Amino acid sequence: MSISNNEIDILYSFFDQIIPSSDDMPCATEAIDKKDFEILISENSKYEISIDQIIYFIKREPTSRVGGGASSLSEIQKGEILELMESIIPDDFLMLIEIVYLLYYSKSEIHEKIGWNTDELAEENKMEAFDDSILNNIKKREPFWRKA
Amino acid sequence: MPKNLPFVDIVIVGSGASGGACAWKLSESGAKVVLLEQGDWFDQNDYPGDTNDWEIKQKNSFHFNPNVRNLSNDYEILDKNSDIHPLMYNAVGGSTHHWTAHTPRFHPSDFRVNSLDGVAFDWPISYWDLEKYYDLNDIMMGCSGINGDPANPPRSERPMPPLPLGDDGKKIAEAADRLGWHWWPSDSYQASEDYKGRVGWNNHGTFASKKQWQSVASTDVTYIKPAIENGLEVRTNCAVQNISVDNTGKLTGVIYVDNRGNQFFQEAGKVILACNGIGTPRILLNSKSKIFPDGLANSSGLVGKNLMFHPYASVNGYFNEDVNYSLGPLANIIIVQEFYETDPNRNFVRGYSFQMARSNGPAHTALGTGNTNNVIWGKEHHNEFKRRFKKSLGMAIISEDLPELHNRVEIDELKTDKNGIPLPKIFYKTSENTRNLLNHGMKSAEKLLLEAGSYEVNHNPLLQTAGWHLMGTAKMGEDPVNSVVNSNCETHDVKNLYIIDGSVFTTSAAVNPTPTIQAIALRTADAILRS
Repeated sequence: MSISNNEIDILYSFFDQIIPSSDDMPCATEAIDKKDFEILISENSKYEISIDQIIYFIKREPTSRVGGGASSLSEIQKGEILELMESIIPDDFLMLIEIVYLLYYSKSEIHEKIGWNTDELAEENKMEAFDDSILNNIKKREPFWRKA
Repeated sequence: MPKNLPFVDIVIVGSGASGGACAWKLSESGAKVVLLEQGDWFDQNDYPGDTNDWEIKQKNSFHFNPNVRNLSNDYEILDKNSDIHPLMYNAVGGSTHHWTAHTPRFHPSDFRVNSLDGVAFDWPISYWDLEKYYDLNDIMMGCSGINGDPANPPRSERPMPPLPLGDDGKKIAEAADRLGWHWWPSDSYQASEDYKGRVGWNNHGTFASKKQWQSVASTDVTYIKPAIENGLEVRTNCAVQNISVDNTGKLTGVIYVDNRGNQFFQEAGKVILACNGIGTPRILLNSKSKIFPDGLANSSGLVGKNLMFHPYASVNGYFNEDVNYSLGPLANIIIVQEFYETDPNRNFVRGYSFQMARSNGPAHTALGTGNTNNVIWGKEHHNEFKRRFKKSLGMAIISEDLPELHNRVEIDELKTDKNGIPLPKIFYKTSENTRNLLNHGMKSAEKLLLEAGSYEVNHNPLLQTAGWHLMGTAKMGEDPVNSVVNSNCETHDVKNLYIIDGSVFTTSAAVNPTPTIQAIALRTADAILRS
C-alpha cells in the first residue's frame, strides 16, 4: 500500500473521535501506537482500497481544502467529516471502524480495564463440568422424532 | 505437456472432512491411495489464541472467508450475486481447521422430504444406511455429548461427556424447560477430555484460548495421520485443474499443478472428489472434452445447480447480570429442535434448529460480528460497549434450505486463479419459504431469550457472512436424468469417478452437515472396497 507519512498522521488524528476517552477508559491514540496502525494496514490487503477512499474523502471535504488543509482540522470538524463519511461511503467507513476497534481492543491495558483475562487457568475462567441433573425435565419427554 | 506419474489405484482430491475420512478407510485396504490437497499442512501452534492479536488474525489471515483471507492457497470466489458469502479453509484438514465443530446428525425425516412434505426430493439412502458410519465417525473424530435426546433416534454412547453448559447455557436450558420446548446439549467434535492423543479442553478458558482451538477435531489429526501410517501418500500444494477421460469417456486420472507451476498427469483407477460444494463442481465444469462438452458427469445439467447454504438468522439478547457470557465454546453448547418438522399451520415447509451462540472477544463484541451492528463510535462508545461485553448471548436459527435450480455455481470464462483454473461464481437468492421460516425462527428465539431474562433483543434476519455449509451441487439420486451421483456416490456418467463432499446432498436438513458428509464418505469407501 502506498500511503504517505502525512496521510498516516491525518488518519491517526481521527482515531480519538471514534474512541474518545471516558472516566475510566483511555482514548484511541492513548492505547494505539501509530506504528501498530501502519503495520496492520500494510500486512492486510483488504484495507487498502478503503484507506485510499477515506483519504480521498477527507482531502476533498471543503473543510479540509480551506485553511491549513486536512492536517489542521479541529476536533469538531473531524467529527463532522466522520459522520459524512459514514453516510456517503459506509463500507469504507466500516473498515476504518474495524481497524480502530481491532487495534484498541487488542491491547493488554484495555483488556485489564474491561476485565478480559485470556489466562485459561485463571480462577475467574473456570467452568463447571457438565452436570446431567439439568436434563431431569427434558428427559421426561417422550421421543418425538418423526419416523421415516 | 504435463509430466506423467505412475499409476495409482485411487486419487482423492481434497483432504477436508470427507477426503480425510475416506482416505483413512481406503488406506486400511492396502490400496495405493494418493491424497491431493491444494493447501499445505497446518501447524496447530498457528491457531490464533493466547496472544492479544488473536482477533486481528480472525478478521484477516484466519478469516473464514477466503476472499478476505487471500492466502496463497486460497482461490477467489466470485460471490457478488449471492445473498450469502461462501466460507472454506484450504489446508490438509480443510475447513475442519476453521469450524465450531458443532456436530448434530440429520433426522430420519431429512432423507424423505418429498414423501413426507411434498417438496424437493427424497434421498436414495436413509438415515439407517448411514447410522453405523455416523457411529464410526463419532469415535474417529471424538464426539462429546450425551445420549437420550428425545428429538432424535437413540444413538451409540458418546465417547466423551458433553462440554460444560456454562451459566448462560443453563439459563437457556431452564428457559426452554419453562416454555415446554425441546433442548439438548449439542454433540460436538470438540474434546471435553483428552482423547486419542488430542488435548482435551479442561473446562477453563475462553474462546481465545489456543488450547480450546486444539481440542477441536480436524481431519489432519483424526484421519490423515493414521492413514499415512497405513501407507497413504499426501501431496500438498497441488491444485487439480481437471479430471481426464479417454476418447471413449473412460476415466484415466487427474491433471494438477504444484506450487512451482509444474503440471502433472496422475493416472488412476478411481478418482474421488472431496473439494466441497463449490470446489467440486468447479473442477467438473472445468473438465470439458469432446465427449463431455458441458463438463464431466453433467449429462443431467445439474453439476453446479441446487446450491444450498443453510441460511442463518440470529437474535441477540442483552442481560443485566454481571456474568461471564464469553466463557467456553462459541457455538456448540445447546441445540433446540422444537420447530424442526413441517407444521401445516405455518407459512413455510420444513423447519429449523436453534443453536446458542456466545458473546465473543472484546474486539468482536465492539464490531458486532454476526448478531449485531458494531458498537457505536463517538462519545457513547464506552457505555454501549460495557452494555454488551460479556452480557449478551445469541440464538442462531439454522434453516433447512430447499434445493432450487437457479441457486448455482458456475465457472467464469475469463477470470482464473494463479494456476489458470477458472474461478467459481455463485448465484444465490434466499427463497420466500426461507424468509418466512427465518422470521418464525426469530420470533421463537426472541421468546426464548426473553424467558431467559434478556431485557432487550435485536435481530439479524440473514447472516450474509455465514456460508459455512456448501451443499447440493452434484445431487445424489438413482435416476441419471435428475441426479449426478448414485447412492454409492459414483457418477452416473463416468464409472470410477466418485463425489463425497456436501455436493451430493439431495436436501440440506436443518443442522450442520459435517457428520453426515463424513458418514457418506465412509460409506462410499466401503462401497469402493466391496467393488
